[in-house]
Amino acid sequence: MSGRATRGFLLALVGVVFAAPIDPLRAQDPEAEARSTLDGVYTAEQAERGRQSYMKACTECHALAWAVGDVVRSWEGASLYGFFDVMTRTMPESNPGSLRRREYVDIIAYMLQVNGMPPGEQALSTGSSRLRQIIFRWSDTP
Amino acid sequence: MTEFPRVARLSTAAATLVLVAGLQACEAPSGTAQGDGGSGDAAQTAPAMASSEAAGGARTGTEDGEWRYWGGDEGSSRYSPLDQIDGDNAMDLEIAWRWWGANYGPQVDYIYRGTPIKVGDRLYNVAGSRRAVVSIDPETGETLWMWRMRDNPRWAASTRQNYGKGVAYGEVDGRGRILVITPGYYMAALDAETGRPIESFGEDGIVDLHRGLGDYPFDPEMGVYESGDITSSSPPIIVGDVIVVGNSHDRGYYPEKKENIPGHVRGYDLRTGEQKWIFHVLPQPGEFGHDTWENDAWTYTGNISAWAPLSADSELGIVYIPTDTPTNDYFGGFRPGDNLYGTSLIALNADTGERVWHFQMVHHDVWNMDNPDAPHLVDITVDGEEIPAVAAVTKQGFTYVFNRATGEPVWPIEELPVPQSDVPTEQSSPTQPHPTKPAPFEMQGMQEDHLIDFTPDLRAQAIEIASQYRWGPVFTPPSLWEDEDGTNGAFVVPGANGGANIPGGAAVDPETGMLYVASQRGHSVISLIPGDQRSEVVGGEDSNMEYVSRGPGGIRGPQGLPLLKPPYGSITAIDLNTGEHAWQIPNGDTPASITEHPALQGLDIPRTGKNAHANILVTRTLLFYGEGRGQEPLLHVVDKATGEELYTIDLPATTNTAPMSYMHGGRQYIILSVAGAGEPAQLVALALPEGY
Repeated sequence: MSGRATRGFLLALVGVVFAAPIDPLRAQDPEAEARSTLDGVYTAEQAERGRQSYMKACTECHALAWAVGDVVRSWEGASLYGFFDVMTRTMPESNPGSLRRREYVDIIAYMLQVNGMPPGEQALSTGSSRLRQIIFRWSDTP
Repeated sequence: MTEFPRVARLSTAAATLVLVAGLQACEAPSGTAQGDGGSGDAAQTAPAMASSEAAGGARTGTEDGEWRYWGGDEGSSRYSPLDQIDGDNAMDLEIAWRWWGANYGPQVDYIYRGTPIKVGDRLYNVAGSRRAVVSIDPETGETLWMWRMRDNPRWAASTRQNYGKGVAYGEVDGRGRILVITPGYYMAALDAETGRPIESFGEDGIVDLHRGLGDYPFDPEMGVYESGDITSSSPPIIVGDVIVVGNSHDRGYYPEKKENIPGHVRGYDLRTGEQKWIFHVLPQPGEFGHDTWENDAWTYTGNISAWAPLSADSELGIVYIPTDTPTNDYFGGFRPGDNLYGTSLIALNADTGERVWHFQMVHHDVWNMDNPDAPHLVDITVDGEEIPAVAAVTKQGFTYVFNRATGEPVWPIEELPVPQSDVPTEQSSPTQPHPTKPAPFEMQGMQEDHLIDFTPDLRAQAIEIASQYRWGPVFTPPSLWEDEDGTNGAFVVPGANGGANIPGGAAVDPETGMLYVASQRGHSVISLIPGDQRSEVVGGEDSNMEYVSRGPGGIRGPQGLPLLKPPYGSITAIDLNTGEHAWQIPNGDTPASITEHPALQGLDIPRTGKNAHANILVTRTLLFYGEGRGQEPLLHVVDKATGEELYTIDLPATTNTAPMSYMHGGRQYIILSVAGAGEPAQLVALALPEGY
């Protein structure tokens, strides 16, 4: 269905396609496959900060142990960005998107750590493109 | 020229006849009615009913282009009879104004759960985690006044700071007043014109709601009941000269204590703020329902809050109270019995607080199936019989429809056997009520056919992921983490965030009797752990309960995809005259996380909708819906008769809660409460261009 132009500020028309950048869940660059959550993609300090943030922002609804196992395992093969995207759009329930970008990424680092994914020398980046380039790999995957 | 049709209603005399017939029905229980043994009890309330009817007064709210209640009218129809905006012109809607509500607390708010009311030439709403009350010019969006309670320790301790849904409006001696319940559980009465507290109400305009609940342990230093956190996020409702006040509690997923304060419902004098009555949602000795608590748990435990907005029929003099689960959400071994009035719909005489009727949707609730939406009042005709009805939509995907005067189910509600708990000390109810009509509006229970089905591989991976948990029908009880049968808990489908819930809820069209329900396809995995492992598993302290859950969360399906097959969210139109579904549509397009997913490339994916509760509004000819929290910033315009999607309109941010509509200066407005990542909380007013 078509329509005519409106005078509305920030309002577009009928059938307008969502204009925000589409973020693929998995990295499109073949080289990105070289990096996975088994490659030391966060630091231990970052994970500790993430634990603190998790305790502050998440445990009202998500037990500490909830971060271990299926909640991460089922993202196997997807990029960290998909996880980051869901978190920042919907969490915490009391004020979604209210944490700093750094805090969300720290929480991801904590969740990687408690699932046995090793820390490394370099902190997990807050950049969307970097997050897209890291793939969830479960540590006991053959 | 816009018309304002009046809702066709039963006359007072007709309502009385229906009431009498209903009481007779109570005396001869069919096995489907609740309140067994309650015929005499119900009969005791009849004189009070008659008295209320004598007071008269039609259900009101949306006449003359107003929106006087959170749900539009006192029956929470969330329906506007306005028709200036229709299917031929909605494409030309533009933003008339925006109002910014992000800085009414110490944090910038990226969520906005408040729906304005419109009375006369003003809008009133709450804003921010302090739950400030604001008066806004409906034509320009200008802030006219703002009131907020002074900082207090109870605000800081409140678990519902940022959940304010709105305010209530009443009149005393012809002058308007705005009622709000604060996060610290105070009630304030403000002059509607000036925003100043009304000194003759309570103490300088404030009533302390942490008084008057009963003889429970009290902390005088903080001025709160010791055992549990009680507050409210919803506005009260005013019926005649009585303010009826509900409440909400802290989350009950894994509480540290089985001790809690019960969420008793209270009535207050609109003029003075004096407490007039209290209805014990946890019945005390000698009160109806006390015997549904089979040991002494009634002396110390609680919750059973009425946290959703309330509805009322001022002509019948009845207020309708939807209630929550008793403590805790997923384990009730310490509270054997059906646990009235947990997870019930209660009809109270608004003037006296006496019970008129009730229905318990879930006996001995261990699924967190609390009633999450205001009851929706509508007059329907079923097989030629005019019925004043109330419909409750629920997290379990059922719609329960009753004669609102008598409590008699419009269609039989059958008590059917359900799977039984094997958790030590738990005594689950052998049966649960199952409405025979309308059909469920959302997927219920877990079975293989419910899992993601885009490809056989994904189905197989989903089965593998799901196989470590117990599957079963809708009332499959929670089970133990690391159970000896090798499972780690049980699926609850729709689950904590599925089915109907407050952000979407439902709307009902009084002209057609059509109910529109926004639902989300969801699931929880409920795994119980011993209370003395709480600190290790959950964090914080251990619990003095035998068992608590690991939380209400679900699990993802394979490769970060949803575990269940689409649609991920729906809007369902249900004709309450027949109980039949008229249509069902997905609540939006297929998200990028699906269309762009590598495992799904080249596949023919259906329109999936979104994993959220659509925020719906119904007008004379249209249904509008926003996509809800975390989804795309779009307003969808739908032909309500057919479910056909007509247009989508871009918004600055996604909608967060129920929209509303009003007429002002000859122009119809639609107000959307929006916010999202990077877009702070704001109201967006849509209207056709001036002079259109």
